[in-house]
Amino acid sequence: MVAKYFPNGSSGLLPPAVSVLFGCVEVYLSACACTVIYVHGSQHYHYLLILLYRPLTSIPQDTPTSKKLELDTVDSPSFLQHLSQSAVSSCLDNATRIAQILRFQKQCCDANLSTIMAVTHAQIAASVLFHAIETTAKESRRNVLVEYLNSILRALREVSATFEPAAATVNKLGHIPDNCNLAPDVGEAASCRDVWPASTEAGVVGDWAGIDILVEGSASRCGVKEQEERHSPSTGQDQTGTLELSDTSHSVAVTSPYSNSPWAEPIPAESLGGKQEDLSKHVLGKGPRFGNIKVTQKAGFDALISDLGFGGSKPYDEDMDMNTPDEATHLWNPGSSIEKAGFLNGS
Amino acid sequence: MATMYMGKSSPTRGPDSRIDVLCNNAMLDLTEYSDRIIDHANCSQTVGSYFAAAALAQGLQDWYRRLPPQVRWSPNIFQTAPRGYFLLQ
Repeated sequence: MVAKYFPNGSSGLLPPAVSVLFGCVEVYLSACACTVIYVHGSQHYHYLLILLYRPLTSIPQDTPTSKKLELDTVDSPSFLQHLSQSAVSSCLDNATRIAQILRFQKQCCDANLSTIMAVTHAQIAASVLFHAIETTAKESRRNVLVEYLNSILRALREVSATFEPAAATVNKLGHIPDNCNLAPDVGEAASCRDVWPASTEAGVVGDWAGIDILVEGSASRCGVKEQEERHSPSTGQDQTGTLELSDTSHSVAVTSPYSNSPWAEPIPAESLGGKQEDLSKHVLGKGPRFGNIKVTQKAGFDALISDLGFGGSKPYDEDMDMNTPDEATHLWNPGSSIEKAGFLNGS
Repeated sequence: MATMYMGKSSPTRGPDSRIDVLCNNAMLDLTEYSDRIIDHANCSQTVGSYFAAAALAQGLQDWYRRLPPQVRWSPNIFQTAPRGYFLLQ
């Protein structure tokens, strides 16, 4: 599976076997995180994955500034930097997942953080989100992350009278820069222990309804334009949500359903029409990047997407909207929400 | 493994208790991975550490695949599930 991503059999100074091995790790780490995103796993499971990836998130010193990562040598700074970026992305994905699970629990339990272990889960997720908010330049993306953090801090505040660590966390992380459009109740969360509901910019909420959990296709409450359309130079049409790679121009013609995620990076203009671009980091907006995988043919790209479970045939939980129990059933209907959104058929 | 610590649920205790036991067993299994991950947290950032992380992530995924259907996330369960179920989720 990996060999086809390295058509020359090797990359840089590495022998073919080592190159393929690194490719395996790269694809595997990426695939793991993608699975984590869509499998509605355990809260503790996501917590452990954050613990697992967090030590790997520090970017090594004297790393090159080149965006194009080459697999030159073992322990090469660029390769480590790329892996660390994957680890950062994985941590963030798991943190947002914890926020979603907490929201779902809120619908079913009076106190969703009933144990200190759950508080610990919320704490680490909040810290990851806080770091992501501080380091994210894109405002729309940052707003979505703030909403996630907002939801976690509310949950922590709810039990702050019972668990002192929860109050301490809210006290530390409750101060988010003003330009993040933070809901007014979170900033004063440490000193204010009002009972639910709280008011947010989205209005008074009696439960988690005011918090917009990431939904593929709409996050209007967070101010994110999710439905992106890009012009395809090969077909001359604007398309949304389908994957296509133009063999003639080697460019990303249209976006994937996942490029609508708030942490999807916009496709830079200079990359369109480039000879051989790192397509994956643009197309697979969510999850880790595939910086050292260069795709030059549509068949190879489709195979990559298929192997990673993208395309609707793999039973992952792609719908993160968990407002109601009915909506929760999407989690067990593989591809249902994406099909409804028209992502697969390009409508 | 975990049942030797937790014991088996009594048939008279009802379905909720059974789910609690399954959740506790699954959490104990997950705790084993916690130990390994904490050990891994002190590693230096080398390519080898990423290999180790990949192996641990694989173990976590295997754990998730082994989860009994009763404690997997389901719209039919979460509405009536005990708190232990949500901690597992």
